[in-house]
Amino acid sequence: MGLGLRAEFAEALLALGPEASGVRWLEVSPENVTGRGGHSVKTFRACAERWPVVTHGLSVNLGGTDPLDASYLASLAEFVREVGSPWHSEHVCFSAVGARELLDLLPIPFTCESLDNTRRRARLVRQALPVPFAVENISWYAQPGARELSEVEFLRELVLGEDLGLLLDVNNVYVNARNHGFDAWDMLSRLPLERVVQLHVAGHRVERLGFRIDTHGEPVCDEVFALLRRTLERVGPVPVLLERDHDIPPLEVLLAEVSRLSKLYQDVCGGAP
Amino acid sequence: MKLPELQRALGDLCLSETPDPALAEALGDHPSRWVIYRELVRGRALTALREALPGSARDLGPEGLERLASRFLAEAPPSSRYVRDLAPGFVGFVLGRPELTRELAPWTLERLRYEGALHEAAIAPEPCLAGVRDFAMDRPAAFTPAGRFLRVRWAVWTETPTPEPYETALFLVRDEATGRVTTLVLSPIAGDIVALALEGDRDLTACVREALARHQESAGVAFLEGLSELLTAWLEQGVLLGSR
Repeated sequence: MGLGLRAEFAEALLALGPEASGVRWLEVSPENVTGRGGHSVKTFRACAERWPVVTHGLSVNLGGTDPLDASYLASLAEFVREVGSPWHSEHVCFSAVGARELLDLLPIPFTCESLDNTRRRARLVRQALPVPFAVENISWYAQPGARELSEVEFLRELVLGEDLGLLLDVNNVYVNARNHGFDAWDMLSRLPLERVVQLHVAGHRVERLGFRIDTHGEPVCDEVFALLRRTLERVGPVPVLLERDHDIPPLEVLLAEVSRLSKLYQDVCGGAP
Repeated sequence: MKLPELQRALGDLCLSETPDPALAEALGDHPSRWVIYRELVRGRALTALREALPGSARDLGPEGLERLASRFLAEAPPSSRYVRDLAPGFVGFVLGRPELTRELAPWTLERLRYEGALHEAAIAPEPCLAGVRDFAMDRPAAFTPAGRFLRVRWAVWTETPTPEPYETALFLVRDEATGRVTTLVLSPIAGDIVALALEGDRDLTACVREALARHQESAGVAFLEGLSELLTAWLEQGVLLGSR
């Protein structure tokens, strides 16, 4: 079981170590560490000496239309190599337009034009990286433009067409299913599950009228636990990561959630998570 | 609309001060849902600013911060992929637009400048030792790029919401062993020494002599012992890297 490393609890986690915390590996966003110094970088380095690290990007702008930043890709490749990440992942979204960084994950249209664009850019990112490249499905609240493909068709074409891994975010599937009125398992089971390299789970906020926002600021809900169980039964023992980025509780609360996830993993997959 | 136009429209909807309602219509699907993205993008920016500039956020109040952040996002939107660069960009924008801050308490902009410098010191890249030689008083000093020097007229480094007038020089230094930043309140002579040394073209002895001369002081035993202790501590902490 992995945990997304955040400055808010990194020192407390470091003090506990891998055994006592039950956290077997860490996920780190290069954007939080590269090109800077200071206390949080020192804490990250200390953590990286004790836990295996997997990198997960936020800003490559995979589905965007601004040119890919070659110097960023070079520094990303160097970082991925330095920390020994077994793969690197990014979101299927856009995050910048017209040299304006939106610092968030925005939806791309499920159209042939958008698919071609994302495939071409994913190919370039994959070629720049020293490790396999995986893409993650996002939560989306509205779809820009006139849809030509379903989300499943889009992701299948992207992953299989470009020989990518899939970082399957179970919470994002659930959030989208609830918001857009489809069956989460039906959608999930039609994805190229043989390409899954990693799973994400997180909490989301329920707004008025039941609309769900992927905040990473709440505990994982029971329905997502259930969907995770079913996913693990289908895909087998792939690494699972808990994301908590906002309203971060005391570390013991977070670790209790990691422990609950670990038990579920052992129930389904047998071995150590 | 083609892909670039769709993305530009969503970018405009998220960043403009008063978005054109036609943008949401043009984006399609459920037009009312596009406001979620506007709220997420703006909420994330405000959170980053509140975390990096807590005293300034308190000085400005929620509405004041939101008003300035809204102008910043519309007129000088982030050009860096790093959330950590948002606060320095915001501080630069606000300091460069005095017409937006005329009504504020006199220390507000100074606190903003101070907290911006503190944040920059905390995130600055680790020092590069290329071209740095062993420390010697007869050569220019090489400081860490994480150091920030500023002169203030108010005690903005204190926690108090209404700081007292206090004219002094501050040196924000990052201990490279721990990565933590400390605010040093410098004496007038020390302030001049650091300011002259940071200019980087004169040897440290010349900087000390000039600072003493400005204040019509001489280098007594106590002064030299104090200076030696301070330089030793800075060399140990990585504040002073050596000489150039």
